[in-house]
Amino acid sequence: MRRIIAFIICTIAVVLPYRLRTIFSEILGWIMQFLYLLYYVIFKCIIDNLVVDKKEKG
Amino acid sequence: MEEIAVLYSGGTDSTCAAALMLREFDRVRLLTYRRFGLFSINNIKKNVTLLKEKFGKNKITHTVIKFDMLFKYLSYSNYFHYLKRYNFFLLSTCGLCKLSMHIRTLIYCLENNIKYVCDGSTRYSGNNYYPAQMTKVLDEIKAMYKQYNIEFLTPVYDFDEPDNIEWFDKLGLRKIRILNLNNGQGRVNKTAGEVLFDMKIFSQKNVKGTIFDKKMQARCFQLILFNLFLYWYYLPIYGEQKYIDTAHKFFKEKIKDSNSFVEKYLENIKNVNNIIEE
Repeated sequence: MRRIIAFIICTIAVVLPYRLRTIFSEILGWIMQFLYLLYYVIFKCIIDNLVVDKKEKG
Repeated sequence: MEEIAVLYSGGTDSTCAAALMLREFDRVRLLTYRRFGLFSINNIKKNVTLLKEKFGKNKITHTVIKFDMLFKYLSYSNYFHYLKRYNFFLLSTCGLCKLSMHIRTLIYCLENNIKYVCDGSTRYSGNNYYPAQMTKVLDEIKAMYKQYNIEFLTPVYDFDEPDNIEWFDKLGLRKIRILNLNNGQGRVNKTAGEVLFDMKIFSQKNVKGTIFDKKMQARCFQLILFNLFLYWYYLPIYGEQKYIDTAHKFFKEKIKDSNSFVEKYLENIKNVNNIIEE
């Protein structure tokens, strides 16, 4: 599945001219940043709860 | 007076390379490149100020050079030929961007009679998959400079890779000490950050992935296309050795093109001059 996604994205990118390709990668970049943020928020929430739990027990 | 030009991105490795060269040379010219797609370019000034405070203003000059047209030329010249032979390798934006910077630096050195060039290339960068930092490609780049009697140095190439503390830093795990970091155990050499810390330029040893690290460099998302091509498509199908060999061939050919571009520039051909003097 990942190979197919990568193949489609690369095929689009390789036919784009200079500026459009840059904008295309900017869009992909911000999507990745958003996914990163989601990952961070979930992870942070788990860590914070673990710390509170540890303090209550300690 | 001995001078050296440093390809300067503002990051830890190129700052370390510049600092080491400031001990060896009378004057260091920091060259930063900007083009469409590179954002927050002013971040770079942060470490230039630190270097000037440490070594003195007179020893350092910092120049920002625009290279949109050169990058475009190198990425898109003979496009169908390259597309047929190397297909998605044309998305090696980082490698082509760095090669464009090298060509522009070569021309800068010829114009200013500078005999030495260096950058912050490291062996570990991008698992040694980033084309412009691969050993074989670097040898080709060195040979390109050598043709014009310029020596290209890579002073931090064999330095060790620092721990990436991005997630520890963001999640505050360093402060609450839930996890123990490696702290450099088992390493042979120092990292660039440790050298800068020892020289009293940086206030902390490991900055990789920290907010401080991000605030001293330009931002560029075009790496994503290359990473998608490499890690999701090419490596799983063809493997590492095939990638290294093909990337080497692709860049060898691009460097050959670059050489003829520089020759045309030196012959004062109008179209080529317009690309450089944009």
